[in-house]
Amino acid sequence: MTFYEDNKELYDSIPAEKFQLVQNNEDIHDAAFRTKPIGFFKDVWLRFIRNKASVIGGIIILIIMVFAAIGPSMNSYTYTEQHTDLANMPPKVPWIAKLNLGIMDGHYTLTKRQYDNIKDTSKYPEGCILKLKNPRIINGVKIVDVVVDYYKYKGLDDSQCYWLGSDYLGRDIWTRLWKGTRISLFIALFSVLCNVIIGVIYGSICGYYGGAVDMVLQRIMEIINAFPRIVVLTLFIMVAGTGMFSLIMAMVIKGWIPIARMIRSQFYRFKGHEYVLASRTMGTNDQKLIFRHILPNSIGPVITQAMMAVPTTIFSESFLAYIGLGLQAPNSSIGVMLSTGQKVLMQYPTQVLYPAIIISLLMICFNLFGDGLRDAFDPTQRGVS
Amino acid sequence: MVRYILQRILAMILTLLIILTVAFMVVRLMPGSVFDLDPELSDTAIKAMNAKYHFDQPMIKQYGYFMADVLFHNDWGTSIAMRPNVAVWDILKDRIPVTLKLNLISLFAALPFGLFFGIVAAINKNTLVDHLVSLMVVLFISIPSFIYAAGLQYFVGYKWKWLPLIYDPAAHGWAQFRSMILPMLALSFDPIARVARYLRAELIENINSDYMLLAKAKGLTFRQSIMRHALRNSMVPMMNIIIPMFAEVLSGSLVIESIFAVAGMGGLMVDSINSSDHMLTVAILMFYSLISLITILIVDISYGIVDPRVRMGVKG
Amino acid sequence: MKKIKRILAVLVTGALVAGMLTGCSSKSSGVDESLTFSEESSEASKAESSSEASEVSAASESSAAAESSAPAAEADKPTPEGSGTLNEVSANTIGSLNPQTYINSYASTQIRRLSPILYDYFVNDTGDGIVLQGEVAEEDPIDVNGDGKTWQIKLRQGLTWENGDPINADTVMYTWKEVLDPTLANSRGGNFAKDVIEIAGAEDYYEGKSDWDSVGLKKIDDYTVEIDTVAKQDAQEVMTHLSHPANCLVNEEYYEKGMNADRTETLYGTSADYWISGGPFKIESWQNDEEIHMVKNPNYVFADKIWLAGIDIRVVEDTSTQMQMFENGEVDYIAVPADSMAQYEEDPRLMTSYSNCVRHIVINSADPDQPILGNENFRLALFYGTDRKTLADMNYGIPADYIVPSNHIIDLATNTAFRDTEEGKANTDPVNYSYDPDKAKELFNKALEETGVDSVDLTMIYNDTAAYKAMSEFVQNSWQQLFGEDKFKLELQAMPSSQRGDQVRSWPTNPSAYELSWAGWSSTSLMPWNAFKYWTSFYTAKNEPYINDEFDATFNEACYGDNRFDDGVRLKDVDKMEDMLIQHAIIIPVNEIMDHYLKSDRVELTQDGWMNEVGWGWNFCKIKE
Repeated sequence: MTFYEDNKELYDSIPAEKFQLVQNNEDIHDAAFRTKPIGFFKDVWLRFIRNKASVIGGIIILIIMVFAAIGPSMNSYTYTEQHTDLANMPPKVPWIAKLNLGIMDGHYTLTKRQYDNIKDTSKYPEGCILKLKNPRIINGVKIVDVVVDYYKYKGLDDSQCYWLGSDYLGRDIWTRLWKGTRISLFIALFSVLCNVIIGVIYGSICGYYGGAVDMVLQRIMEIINAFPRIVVLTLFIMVAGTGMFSLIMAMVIKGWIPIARMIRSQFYRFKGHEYVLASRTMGTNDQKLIFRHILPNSIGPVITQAMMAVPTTIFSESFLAYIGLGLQAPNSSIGVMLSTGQKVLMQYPTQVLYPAIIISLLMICFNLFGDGLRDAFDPTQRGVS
Repeated sequence: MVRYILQRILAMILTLLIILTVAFMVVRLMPGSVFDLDPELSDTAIKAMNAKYHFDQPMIKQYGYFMADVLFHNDWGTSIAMRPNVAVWDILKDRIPVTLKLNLISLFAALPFGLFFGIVAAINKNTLVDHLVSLMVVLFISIPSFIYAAGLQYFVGYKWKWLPLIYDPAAHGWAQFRSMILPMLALSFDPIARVARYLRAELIENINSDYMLLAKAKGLTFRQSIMRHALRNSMVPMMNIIIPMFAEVLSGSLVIESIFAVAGMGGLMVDSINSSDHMLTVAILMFYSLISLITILIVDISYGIVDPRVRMGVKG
Repeated sequence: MKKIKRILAVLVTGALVAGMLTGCSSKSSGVDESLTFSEESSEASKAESSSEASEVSAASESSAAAESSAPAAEADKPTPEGSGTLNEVSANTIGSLNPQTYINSYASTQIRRLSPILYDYFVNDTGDGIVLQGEVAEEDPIDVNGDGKTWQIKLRQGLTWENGDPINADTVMYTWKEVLDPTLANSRGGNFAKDVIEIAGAEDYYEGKSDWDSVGLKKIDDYTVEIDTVAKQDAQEVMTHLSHPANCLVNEEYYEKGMNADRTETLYGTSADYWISGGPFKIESWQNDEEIHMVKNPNYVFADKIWLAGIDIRVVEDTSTQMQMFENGEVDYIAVPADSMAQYEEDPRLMTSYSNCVRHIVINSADPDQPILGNENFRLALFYGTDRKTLADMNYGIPADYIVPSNHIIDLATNTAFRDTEEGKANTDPVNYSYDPDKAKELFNKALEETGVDSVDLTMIYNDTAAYKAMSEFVQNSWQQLFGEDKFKLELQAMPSSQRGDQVRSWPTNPSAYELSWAGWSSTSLMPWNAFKYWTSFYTAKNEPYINDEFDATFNEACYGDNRFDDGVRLKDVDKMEDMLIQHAIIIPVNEIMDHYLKSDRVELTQDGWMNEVGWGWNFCKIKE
């Protein structure tokens, strides 16, 4: 303005004819978008793939799932096939063994062997002894720890090997690990699905109707929630018996509560919004209001919470296995393998190592994946993990 | 406010009564009688003992006896399998202190570390320090605690002989504390990781907010602004996770207790369920439920104090 | 990108941990001949300073061997306080020291250590055999009337509890009155009333049907008591009955101190406040479920046989923690679980003993839903289809196609085990342990034909322990392979032990309570005939619906028959009962459980190895300092 004020005389001196219209033959309107319109899920997807950690988490989950699907059929063993004479074999993968890394080479330290038996070829076949360690005398007997090539020690030729070793019945751990991962994932995903369905319905009813209904339903929820999770799991399995179905049910008893809570608060947030009021004024029925208008707001948080619940469920299953109430034998699951492995942690550490790696990877990846999903669904929450 | 608290406490007592009923029913409906532990027990003995403990009467009568004893005489019955004839309360009295001691100390020991790591990671966001903390958090959360516990015991206790292998209930003072270090360590990994992770997120959100810009503008150093403003604001939601953590740590210490030979509540729970010691099981259930209800109550009340909307907004 | 690095870091760490845990060092070629052996000390403190230990080369003769075999010069008699403390560890808790209500066998061991008893088994003076002799009782019971139904027991004079109160006939009478008391309803009362001997009127009193005066238990004078039995007994049987740990004596003062107002229960033996000792040891301190410290009781009648100054027991549930404590020298001996045995197979400290128990598969042969279980050929097919050798190897046990355990003595005079007799040998197959797959298949097909079914679908319930899980998985797999998965299917269901036991034993009220399960009875090793009570029709906690009059009659003859003391009668009866159960495959014996122990060099046993009824004799061991 000041510019005009300062040079008022100069501007006023320009004759009006000198001004020309830029255009006057068309209506003026906004230029069309150069890009295509982006839908909600596409938007989420775009945001999600920008988060590298979550993508990698997702990829690792996918890889684990693929292995869970095809792993058991990658070698000739089945998950129930027993070779009791080949129990507790150490891991051996021929090409890794050739690298001399000290892992997966089929070597094993036999502790506290009598030195006088070392040369007995009926006990130690030709060439199986690699090294003698810790020579000592116990009760007057010469004792050594013998590092052996366990496969030669058992009289096997080079062709046969257990990639991740074998368990107490000589079953292939590789096969059982992936079979177990499959079952654990199935239990986790299925129970989480049940939780979501129950939680969404329950939470919607609480949140939408409010008042006395909410009050009663809230108390019920509070009561269920007051029982510690571990107690509920244990008692339920004791009453219902072990098995996949009762395991899933046990996870569901308390599992739906966080989702119901979250849905309820979402309802409280959105049911007062103008668009809901408007829709209600226009005579939309309750069902439609719940499922068309309010619930879709919660899809993001529900998916996120469900993803976070998966690893927790796998942990719960391993707890039950630890106290002996896991899956029915001879089925395997990550929990069953962890708990049997823990009992022989000192003798055969690898038996607990591999399931521990899988459960840890699943924990990490589902957490990363869930973080990414939450950020993608709700950009305002970015960075909160 | 007082009215709100009273309301909440009343609701809690009602909830407890219902839980008591549910617990009794569930435990009694479980298959398994107590007296099959010893196959040599004669039929006569089983009959005599069933009559003594009212097991031969219909469930509803048993329930009547039970509720009357609990409510009017504060009598939780006697144990019949774990420690025959001993009042349930006397057994809990032996077990609760050690569990509380172990869990409280490890939780309180974990908090400063968790807060420290959270703050350090938030201040140094996206630097090497942050990533190291994140790595630690991920490892602590994602590896089952019995692996740590067994590892700690094997290396620190057995191989290097730095600390005692197991908890020593008879020792006093420093000697006993030394024997508690390993189980406490194993128990505190999870809280450390969760506090650090949550605080980091909260702090980062706060650091980026407008009032921090104001604090900077009015001349506070970064350190001052973090300590006086951001941290204080982050602590409110932190309470929401720290208090319930107590209930969780308490019920999750079962495996640790078994490995370090701590005679605590976790082992008692599994043993009493396994040996069908009904009265004891009910009392243990009530103990855990009470702890979890109290933590919920504390969280609710503290929120009510901090944020009046919670008080008003409960009604739909 | 940083987060990718983070994940990579996790993976690398994982791989490193993997490397660490597999613990394989770089390859070394061949056997190193120049090894230096040094004496390993079990003391944790000394383990550091290995240079002090004597060094001997592998080639030269070990001087340490000579050293350990030479007995240390010690005094011949223990001092009143004893010397050295035995450190024990246990996965079980005591629960209660009240002999009349105790729950597990671990508790009974401790009760026996702390309480006086009328009779018990001891190692003889030469240390190579056992004798059943009086502890509180001065001598064997006297058959007053010569009809074997009235027995007088003379007590030693001058025996006291740890506080100096006398142990006399009143103590014994009080103990007997309380164990049978109908309002207390002590769980051990039924066994006292009737087991090896039946005490006149005792059962009626216990059930509240009669009063105390009608019970055949009397005080004659301050140091004499009398027992009236229903049937004719011999002194050995009376002593055996009274030597059960449930019949340890209780102290009236403390028993009454713990009694509640309506006399329905007592706190006796539940804590140190309600306990007084009168056995070989006394309690110094006791923290329930955690630890117990015992010291030698100088007032004990055989105090001159107790070398130890005390015993410390720590409750540790986790077996790998127990192992580490043993290797650290904190514990003097431990039981080795089967899954750790691979590490200790050749350990010179390893000791093996019988556990007095044949583990077998129980069959609900009267299950209306599974008529095939009632088919004898089917059960025999399972019997011949069980690979006992492999199952035994898995558990470091002994394959057993028989029922009477190897250590059960049929003839005390000659110390002959039943399994060593001609009759005992005839019932077993020492080569394949009755594993005959072809015969099993043949019998299986015959059974299918007879019952007219195409396939069998069964469920086996088992205790949720590692050993039972492994065995169940093995029989499941091997039976399915043997009979064909299309024809035979076995489901497995784990349960906590008390729940499983209850379900199995509920068949009288619920005929299809179970189909297959596991069991293992243990009983006194000196009366193999008595062990067959579990299959008689009058046993109340029976596992399987087996009712056979001939079996009952044989059992009664061996236990109560007038001719039972005649030469060879009991041998014949035991043989017949075992044969009846096996020939009809009422149960499927699988293996005999063996117990394995590791003992520290510090402890020296005063007897020649493990013996029936007295075990390793830890109470009588010496500690070498």
